[in-house]
Amino acid sequence: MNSLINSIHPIEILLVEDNPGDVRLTMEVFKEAKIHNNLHVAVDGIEAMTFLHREGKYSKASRPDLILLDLNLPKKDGREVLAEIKNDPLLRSIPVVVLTTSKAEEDIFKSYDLHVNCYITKPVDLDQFIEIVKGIEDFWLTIVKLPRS
Amino acid sequence: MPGKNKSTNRISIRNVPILLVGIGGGIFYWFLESVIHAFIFGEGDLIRQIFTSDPHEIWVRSLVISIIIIFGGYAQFVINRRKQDEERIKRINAELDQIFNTAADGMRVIDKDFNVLRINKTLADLIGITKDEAVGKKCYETFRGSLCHIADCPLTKIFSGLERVECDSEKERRDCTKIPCIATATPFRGPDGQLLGIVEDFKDITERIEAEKKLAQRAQELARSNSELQQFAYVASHDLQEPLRMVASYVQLLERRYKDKLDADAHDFINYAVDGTKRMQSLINDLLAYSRIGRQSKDFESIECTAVLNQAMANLQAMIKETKAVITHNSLPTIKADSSQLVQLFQNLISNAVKFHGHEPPRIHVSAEQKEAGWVFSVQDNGIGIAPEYGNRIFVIFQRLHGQSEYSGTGIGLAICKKIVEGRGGRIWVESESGKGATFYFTIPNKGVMY
Repeated sequence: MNSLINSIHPIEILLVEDNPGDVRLTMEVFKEAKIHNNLHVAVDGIEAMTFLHREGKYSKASRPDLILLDLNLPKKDGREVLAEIKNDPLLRSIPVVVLTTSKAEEDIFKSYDLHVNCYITKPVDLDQFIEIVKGIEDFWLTIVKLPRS
Repeated sequence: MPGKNKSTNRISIRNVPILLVGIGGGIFYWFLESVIHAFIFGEGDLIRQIFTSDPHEIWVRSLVISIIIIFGGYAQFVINRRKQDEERIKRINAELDQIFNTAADGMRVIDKDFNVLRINKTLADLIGITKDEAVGKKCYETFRGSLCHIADCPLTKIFSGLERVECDSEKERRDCTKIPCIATATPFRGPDGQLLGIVEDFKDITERIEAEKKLAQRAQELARSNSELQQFAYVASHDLQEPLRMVASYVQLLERRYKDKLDADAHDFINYAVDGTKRMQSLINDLLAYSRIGRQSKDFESIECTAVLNQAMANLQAMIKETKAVITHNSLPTIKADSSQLVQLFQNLISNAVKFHGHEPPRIHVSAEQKEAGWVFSVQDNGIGIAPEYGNRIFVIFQRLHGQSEYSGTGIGLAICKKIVEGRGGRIWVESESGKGATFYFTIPNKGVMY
């Protein structure tokens, strides 16, 4: 089992999502998570990068252990955010999970081309969505060993 | 022209028959000889001299008259030959002139000093001047172009030894408007092969350029409309689904959280709402799948249809098992097509045949027949069939003949089949009667289009 579970620090998750409905839904599901987590929300790409670079109001933000990224975002697109993260030596070790409504082949291809860690399409059905969030939690926060900075 | 009248006069003299000239000349000579004998030598009166009976005199006079007639005849022969030659040359000249002037291309002949020697009517009209205005002037004075006075000038290239120069050149009319041309320059040689100048040919390509511009514009418009369509497909796949997901998820969340506080009606309503959103989602996905066909412009590969059919059957395994469907086929050909589209085509037709089965388990037979223009495939079933009047409607997107409670589906399967077949240049149709099964046919042409 991962040492993180035993760690007293909560898992830091950055959710980059512009739709408040989706933010709330994800938060609701994460509330039921087994692992103690802090879910931070950035509503656009610029805010996400500000958070990651710990600039402005996020100067005291903690480095996330996992990023959940929507692709279609205002101001700065999710693809740009992904490219910037994966091109940044300080950030690229953070696993990025694209969590989007898009099933478009080009989006899937482009995301993996930009070195996304995994690509997940949000289902319409709530039960399925809960399953997926649980899956993310199980896999990325329990099964997988992540670098701890 | 002054020369023209002169030649007409000469011809009228030459037209007098040589016999008359000879007889006239003979009579005149006879009379002259009589006058000389009568008055200069004093040998009697003129009448006696004219009707002389001296055999010697008659001999001499006849000989001279014969010589006059023979030489006259020879002269006439030579003159006739020359006349014929001149007329032939004139005719050839007129013909060449006509060809030169009526040629579709503008042409001119230029000497080594860049003076225009000849210009045809086509070119003169193209420039907007008369032929006389151009002849004698420098080539660049009357028809200036983008290549004048530079190293690329086709004339300079010919003078430096090239045998033919063809290039695009933008020329200028007298009114300064531009003409895009293909200019071709070739050497103009004398009879001994010496270079006298250049023959220049101009093909006006204004219409071609216009057509190319229009074509490019159309291509651009098409590309834009295509990219708009792709944008639309993306909007459908993403932006339309997001609100849908919100509705479905929150209605379900409501149910989850407030299960104990809701009555049976509320649960029913929630189910309808969720079901609606799910159907909406499948419609969107199907629409998206439909719009995507044909977008992948892959090169067609050689495909064994038996393998394609097996793949389609494997994809439908659960459905086939559940309905105990029996699917048979004749030997199927190898054709050139997009394999994933062909799998989808077979899959949709077979799943349709399985879905609309009657009381008996579905029996489906797939076969292919070779025609001159390509292959005709058929998928025959023993299902509920289709009334002939609906034969065309079933291929229209989202057209359904049955309610959701009878047969589920969005009504896109056959529309996708139609798009796939037509994208491959073929045709799809159904032959059926209500209650008597249906046979779907589609054609795959060897090349081009097959109806």
